[in-house]
Amino acid sequence: MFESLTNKFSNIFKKLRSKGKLSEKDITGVMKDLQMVLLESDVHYRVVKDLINRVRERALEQDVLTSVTPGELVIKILWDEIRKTLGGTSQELHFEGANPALVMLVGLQGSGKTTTCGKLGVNLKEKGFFPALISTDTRRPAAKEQLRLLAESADLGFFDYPEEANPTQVVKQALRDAQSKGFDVVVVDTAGRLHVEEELLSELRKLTQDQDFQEILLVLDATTGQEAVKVAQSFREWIEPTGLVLTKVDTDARGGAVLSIVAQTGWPVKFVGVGEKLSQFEVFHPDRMASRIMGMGDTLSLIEKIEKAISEEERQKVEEKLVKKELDFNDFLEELSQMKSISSLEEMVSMLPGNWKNALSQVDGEKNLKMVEAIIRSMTAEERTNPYIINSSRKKRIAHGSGTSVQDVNRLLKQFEEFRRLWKKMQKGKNLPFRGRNLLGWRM
Amino acid sequence: MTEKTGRWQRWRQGLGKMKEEVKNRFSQIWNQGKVDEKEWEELEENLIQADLGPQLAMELTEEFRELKESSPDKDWKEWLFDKLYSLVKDNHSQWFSQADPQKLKVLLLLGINGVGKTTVAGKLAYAFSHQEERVSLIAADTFRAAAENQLEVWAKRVGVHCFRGSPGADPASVVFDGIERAKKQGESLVVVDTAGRSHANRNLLAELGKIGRVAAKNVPPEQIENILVVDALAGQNAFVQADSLSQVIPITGIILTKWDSQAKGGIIFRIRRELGLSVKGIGVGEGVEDLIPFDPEEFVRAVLS
Ligand SMILES: Nc1nc2c(ncn2[C@@H]2O[C@H](COP(=O)(O)OP(=O)(O)O)[C@@H](O)[C@H]2O)c(=O)[nH]1
Ligand SMILES: Nc1nc2c(ncn2[C@@H]2O[C@H](COP(=O)(O)OP(=O)(O)O)[C@@H](O)[C@H]2O)c(=O)[nH]1
Ligand SMILES: [Mg+2]
Ligand SMILES: [Mg+2]
Repeated sequence: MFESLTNKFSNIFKKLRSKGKLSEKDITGVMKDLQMVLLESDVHYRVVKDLINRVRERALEQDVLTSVTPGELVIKILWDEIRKTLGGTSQELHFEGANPALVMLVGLQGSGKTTTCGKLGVNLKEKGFFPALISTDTRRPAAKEQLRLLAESADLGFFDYPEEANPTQVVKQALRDAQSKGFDVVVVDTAGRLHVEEELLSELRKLTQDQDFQEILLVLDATTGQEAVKVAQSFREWIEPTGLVLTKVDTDARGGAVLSIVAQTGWPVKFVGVGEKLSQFEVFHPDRMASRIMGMGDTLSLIEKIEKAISEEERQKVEEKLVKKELDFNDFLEELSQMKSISSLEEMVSMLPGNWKNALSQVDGEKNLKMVEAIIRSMTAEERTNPYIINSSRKKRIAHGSGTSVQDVNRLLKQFEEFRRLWKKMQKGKNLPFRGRNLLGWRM
Repeated sequence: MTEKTGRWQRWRQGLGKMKEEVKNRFSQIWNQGKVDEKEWEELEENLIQADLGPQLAMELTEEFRELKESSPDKDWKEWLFDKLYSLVKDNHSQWFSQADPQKLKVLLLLGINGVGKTTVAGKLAYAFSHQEERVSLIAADTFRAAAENQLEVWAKRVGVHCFRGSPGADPASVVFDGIERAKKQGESLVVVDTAGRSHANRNLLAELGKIGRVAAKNVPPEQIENILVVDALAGQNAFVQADSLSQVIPITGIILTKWDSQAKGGIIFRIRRELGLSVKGIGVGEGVEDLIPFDPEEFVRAVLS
């Protein structure tokens, strides 16, 4: 059952991938599926709705390309939107010249604050700072001991103060000690507190009022669910965090909660924790996170492929438009293959404007369509681009190759002439009936 | 259950949001003549917000819609009670129901990092030692910094023995030694605290399997409870987690922690339905008494009262 959950997303895209074109109805159906997947990734309901609406709009506006399926385009659009929401690039800490700088980690119980203090210490040390860690957590048993052991294991500064001292006193003393001992950053660990524990939150506010913190990082566990938005909201009511640290990204949680919080607060994600060891700490990559939330490990390479295909195709299209004067059998074949992906051909033909209907009257069933395709495929490349060279001996060869008769070939050539005439009428290389965005309500 | 102490209050508060928002929505929709699509969607949204999960939320909305359309003179409150109760009624809240009280019982706590395993170990040791059990704690988290110290503090608080291995020892061997010791001491229950682990880490998972086998070799299966500790604030991941852990160890029940976060409680219905596991207790704070037994009927009544 969980397997199928994880696979759900890729199934949706498989569904999309196999389609040549999407109708508005198709898109609506798929958006419903996407919504479910994002919810399963713990993205907040409102944020999901918003995201889905944006993706739908962009999907409907999107030009259709031949080398990228509509499904792949939707992947790309969704990924883009998530990444945009998460923020463009990774963010550094800002100490604004303070010496010693004060950094504090806050968050719910068990979110990973103490571990992150250690990780941050290591990270700062690697950058050439001299950090010292202090604990203000007197609630959780052995919390200070935990921080001390972490500091020792990484050879970081650690100041020990009696448990009776209040947090403001502890921080003030730590600043003095840092100065006299030559440390330039003080990293403050705090007790975990729920977003509904107002007393504890007001204690935190008092601390931020008494002292100037360069960075206040909200530590968020990637396994948090729908409630994450409330958590951020209430922390924001009491203090103003400068950013987020997302922990436990090494678990299989998709971490959609982080998207919800960022969407709501605009706080940058500064780091992610990817394991219990102090070295398992990274700067944040919105790209990777977007893929993760979508539940697709390999999205990045896929996205790259799509991006490349899009730019390549756009370039080609421009070139084609410049060079090509007339419709040829390659275009015709392409049109036909587009039509095949539409479930009921009869239905489509019946919806065509009158003159198109006549032109395609021969192509009135799957069988006919197959025959037409076979004939075109038996043509040489030259014959396809320049049908005027098809003389009677060529016709014989084509009929033979496609298992049809010369009459069949003749009929197709006539039909093609008609088709080409209409195509010209439809003005210089604009949309063919099935390729276009706005014809017959078939859009993509 | 009329107790008015802090923990019961926090338990009720935990239900607060689900009660108000969702109930009002149900009632409003029921009493309304015409309900448009948007309003149905809002009901579904409320249920998702109450942590029932998208699937269950959708189904419940559908069924309620059918009820309204087909039998408008029914009592919707009764219907909702039956519906929710049917999801939880088979919950077995009692511990060690088949166990021989004369023999040693083993209660193993497992779950991902930071959910509250160590805290639950302390609370359980406290609760059971007040029920005439002779309890000791085993510190099998030899991985996290100061994890054993943390458990030791709890043991002191509760007044029970805490068995520790040498630093960095193999946790399975610590469990083995701890069980041996408890048997010798004539104890009736050991509560084993383990390191947090998720399915991403194969080594740690394998290690958990080993711990489980050591326990199973030394006490009969009816004397063992393997309890998954789940954070009430957790999202979908909790379910994936349960699934992957149960591949290496048979889970016999669940304890839901941090209920005092007012996480809205829908997760319980989902746990029952998707995992089929029994909720044994609910953590409502960081104090030693902040663990409450789960009573399905009372729970649903409280949700709908
Ligand atoms: N897998 C994993 N575990 C983490 C990570 N960060 C913290 N933890 C674990 O989460 C648990 C709680 O972390 P801790 O720092 O004590 O949380 P605090 O209560 O917020 O201080 C511990 O078992 C940590 O080892 C991470 O990035 N990945
Ligand atoms: N508010 C609240 N906090 C809890 C509860 N259970 C555990 N905690 C806190 O969650 C944090 C992690 O708990 P811990 O037992 O160390 O988790 P472990 O890593 O799974 O062993 C600690 O700060 C605990 O005090 C609960 O029911 N309510
Ligand atoms: Mg801590
Ligand atoms: Mg622990």
